[in-house]
Amino acid sequence: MGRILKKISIAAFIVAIGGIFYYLLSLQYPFHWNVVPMDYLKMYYLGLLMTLKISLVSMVFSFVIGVVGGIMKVSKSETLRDLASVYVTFFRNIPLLVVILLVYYGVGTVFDFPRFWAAVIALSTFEGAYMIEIIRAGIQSIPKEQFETSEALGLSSKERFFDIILPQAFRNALPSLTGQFISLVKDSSLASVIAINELTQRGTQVATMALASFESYITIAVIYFTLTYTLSFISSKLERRLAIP
Amino acid sequence: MSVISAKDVRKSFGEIEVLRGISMEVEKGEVVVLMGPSGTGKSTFLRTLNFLEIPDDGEIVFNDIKMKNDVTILRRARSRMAFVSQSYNLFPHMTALKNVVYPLVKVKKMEKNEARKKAAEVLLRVGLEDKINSYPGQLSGGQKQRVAIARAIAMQPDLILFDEPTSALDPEMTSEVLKVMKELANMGTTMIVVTHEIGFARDAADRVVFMSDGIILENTEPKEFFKRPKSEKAVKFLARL
Repeated sequence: MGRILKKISIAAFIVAIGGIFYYLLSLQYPFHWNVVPMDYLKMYYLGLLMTLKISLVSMVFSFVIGVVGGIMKVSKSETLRDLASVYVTFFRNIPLLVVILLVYYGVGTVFDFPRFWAAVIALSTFEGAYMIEIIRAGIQSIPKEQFETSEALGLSSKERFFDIILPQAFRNALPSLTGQFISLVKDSSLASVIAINELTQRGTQVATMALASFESYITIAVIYFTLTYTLSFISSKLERRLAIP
Repeated sequence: MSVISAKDVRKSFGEIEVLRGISMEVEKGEVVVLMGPSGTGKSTFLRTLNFLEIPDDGEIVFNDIKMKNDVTILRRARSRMAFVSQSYNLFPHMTALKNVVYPLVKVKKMEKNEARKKAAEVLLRVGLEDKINSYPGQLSGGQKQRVAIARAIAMQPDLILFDEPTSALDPEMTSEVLKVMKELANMGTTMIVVTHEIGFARDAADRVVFMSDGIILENTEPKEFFKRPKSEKAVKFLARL
């Protein structure tokens, strides 16, 4: 009980500070909550849908990149290991915003694909680089006896990997994976620079249309928070459910 | 005909030559205990027998299979040669039953229901009928090793290799595991056991092989070995126990 109480009091403290700030701001800035978000709910709804769409598709792709790259990183072949390392190094040292612009203006111009896919490709490849490291760490956390026992039993390398190593590695990696998925959702806001109508872009549109920036940005902040908080909630449920007794 | 034979097996790790030409044969139904001071290559030798450690030189023939580093050959050999190591034998994300069932289905290509029946049967034999749905994390060390042994015998192997199966256990758990192993020995299971358990060697072994510094110094009956060890090193080793 004490732990929850502590959490509530910290939350109350933050709300209080926010409240004071809000009051001071409201002396200078007239808030119109009846106009924003109330008159523009449809806009936020559409934005949220697009954010969800980009995030979910990118999650799938980045996870696939993470698993493939993670396996490459622990492979016996030096070439595969190096290939994965170069990939990770490359994407970890470039800002996501730049990756999005490069994919959209560079690759996108050559191959001519819609901006939605430009955003998905940029997000997936970028977040995938971090997923690779997470999966690699997950695999390496499995004691070597597990590999050996599988081998001694006569399991094939495919069975060993998919039935023995990966299920354990995935459980170990789940908390970090969730963190990365949450980052991905938040990072998807950068897709607004290539004029994708996701939540941040919609928020900006409402802000200019209704001349109510604070209301609009506070609104999308609340939506993002709800979204990612739900994600970590689901993940901790899943973690508990998958926990090995 | 011997179940397994090793001829002049050699293995080095870097500069250190751990196995300096080991030759031995094990007949069907024989229980051989490998003893010797720590760091003399007993475990390494045992691991070369199923190619967990690939020997640098020499020849290992198991049944009619000449062992070599080839996926198909090793898979075929290992499906008939079980290995029980010191610890971490079990898959933590599978119940005791599933730990036994899984290799039966995958390696022995047994039908699922049949495998379950077989698994329940062997778990009963090692006295764990009430633990079949427990996960390894819910079992004691001794129970875990018994599940590992159950898994080994379920595969109906021609040979079981034990690599210090009790050295991570306290005395009480050691005796419960040794009891199961003695039963196996009495039933005519062919096994090679690396252990420091003198009692087990005396009661259950047909032969004791004494290794020191990467070579075999004695290869004889347990009675003979414990009463009249020939080499000076074996005398010293036994005196210290």
